[in-house]
Amino acid sequence: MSVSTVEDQDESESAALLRVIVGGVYAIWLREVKRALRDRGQLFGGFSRPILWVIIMGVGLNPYFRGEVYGEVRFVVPYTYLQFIFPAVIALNILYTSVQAAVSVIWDREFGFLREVLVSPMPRPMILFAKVLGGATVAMFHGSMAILLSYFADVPISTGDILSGLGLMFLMAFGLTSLGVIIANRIRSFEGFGVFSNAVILPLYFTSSSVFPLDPALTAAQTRVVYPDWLVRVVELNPLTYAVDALRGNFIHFYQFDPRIGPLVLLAMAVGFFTIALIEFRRN
Amino acid sequence: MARGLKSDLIALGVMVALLGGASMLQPDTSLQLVERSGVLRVCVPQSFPPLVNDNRTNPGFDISILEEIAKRSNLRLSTNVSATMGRDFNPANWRITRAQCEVVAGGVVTSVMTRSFLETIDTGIENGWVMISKGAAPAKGARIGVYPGFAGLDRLKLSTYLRDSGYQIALASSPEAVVQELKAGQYDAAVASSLDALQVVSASPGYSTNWLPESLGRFAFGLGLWKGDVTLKRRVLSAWRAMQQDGFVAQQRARYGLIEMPKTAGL
Repeated sequence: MSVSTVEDQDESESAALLRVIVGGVYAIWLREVKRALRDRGQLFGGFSRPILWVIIMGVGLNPYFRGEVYGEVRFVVPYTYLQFIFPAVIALNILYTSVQAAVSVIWDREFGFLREVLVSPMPRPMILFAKVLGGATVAMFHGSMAILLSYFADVPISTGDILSGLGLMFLMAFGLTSLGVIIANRIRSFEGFGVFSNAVILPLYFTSSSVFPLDPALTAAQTRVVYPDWLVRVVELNPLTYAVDALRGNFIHFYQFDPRIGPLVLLAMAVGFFTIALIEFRRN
Repeated sequence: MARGLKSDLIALGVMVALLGGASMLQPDTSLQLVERSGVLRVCVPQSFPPLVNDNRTNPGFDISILEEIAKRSNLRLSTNVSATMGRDFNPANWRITRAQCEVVAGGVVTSVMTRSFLETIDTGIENGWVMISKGAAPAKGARIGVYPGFAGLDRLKLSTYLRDSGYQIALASSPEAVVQELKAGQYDAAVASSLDALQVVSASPGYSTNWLPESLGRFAFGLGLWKGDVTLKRRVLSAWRAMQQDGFVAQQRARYGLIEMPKTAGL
């Protein structure tokens, strides 16, 4: 005959709770992934953005950045324009999908699913974590879709580049999905979220040195001769600049800033935005 | 449930297939234009041995390689000799433009700077300062003949290095002069750029070459295509890789005496 002690009971209770948490995280994550997969519009967006940006815009602008005269530098970066914008398009796909993934928070609130989840034994941080994890997974997948155009953009990618790239893409997706949740927590309607998210996504993208380079060979003073001071400052203050730079360094081995900054900023974005999202999620 | 999953996977497969298909589109017209004309035009300096020689039977390593690339691509190679190439300090003054040629060869340095206006294909030929000596490194106080040449290597660094190493320096006017002075015993050893050193060694039995430290400057040569001409670069690169595999490149290296040098001099 066995005698169960208080410690044994505590252990089995905590094991049961852990099972509930892991199962709950998995269920919410799977729900997010399935919903994204079934949202044909979102899937089509993940396909059409790289097509438009790499194939249409990249090819359209390529002749303006190509070499014409020996020794004459028209485009300071030692890569073609297509190669230069390719990592930025991966970032754009992640940016759109991450922020849009947070629309599910409004959706769940609207249809009562969030209330049901909130009364479950799952701790609130884990509910948010699972939702963000689901959104980040989908965003990372959309970013990976853009990699399929690497041959077209003449960007040779090794298996190592893909693996390290996926790590960076996940960090970026996690941070940006958390940012989307912060936005969704403040906006109560689908329409408002759509307008506001676009108002965040596009300025963030265009001021991240995604479509034009800040010449790394120039000093800070020289850069401010080429571009107006306010623009350089906005680019330098935009955290996405360093995220794009990290992806660019990973895929085409070209950095505009210190290579250590990008991963650090991505990590800070992931932790920082998730913490803010969590505080607001608890409060609401 | 299974039907839903199947439909999801089909939608996903279609998107991935469409992106993969789109990736096969031609990003530019550079190859198409060359194929239409049937001619691959290359801009080269008058002479930059052994990459470009003023000699029809042995036209130089770069020209021989490009002739083979053109042949394998069913094209004819047309050389456009530029008298100004390499003469002016500023390459923009050479006025070599896209209108004159699709490829630039004969001393194109595959540096980051060059890649600001050219797509480069590394041909595995390096240039840098090289010590030409008999076996062991020359002893302290030895008289070293230096032929600086026109390769644009850092002469100031070389001079400091040789003086710090305790050598006496004598300036030579040409590779031929270096050969003569070595033969006459006026120099114990000599220093020249690696390409010039090959000429000296081929005419000086018993002498061998060793790289001087990389810190004195070393750079790789290659073929240059205009930046943005991705489709043409792919064709040239694929022909170059095939030539590497079937031994053609090695044959040409041997033909032009482009021997592998030890990585560091025993100094």
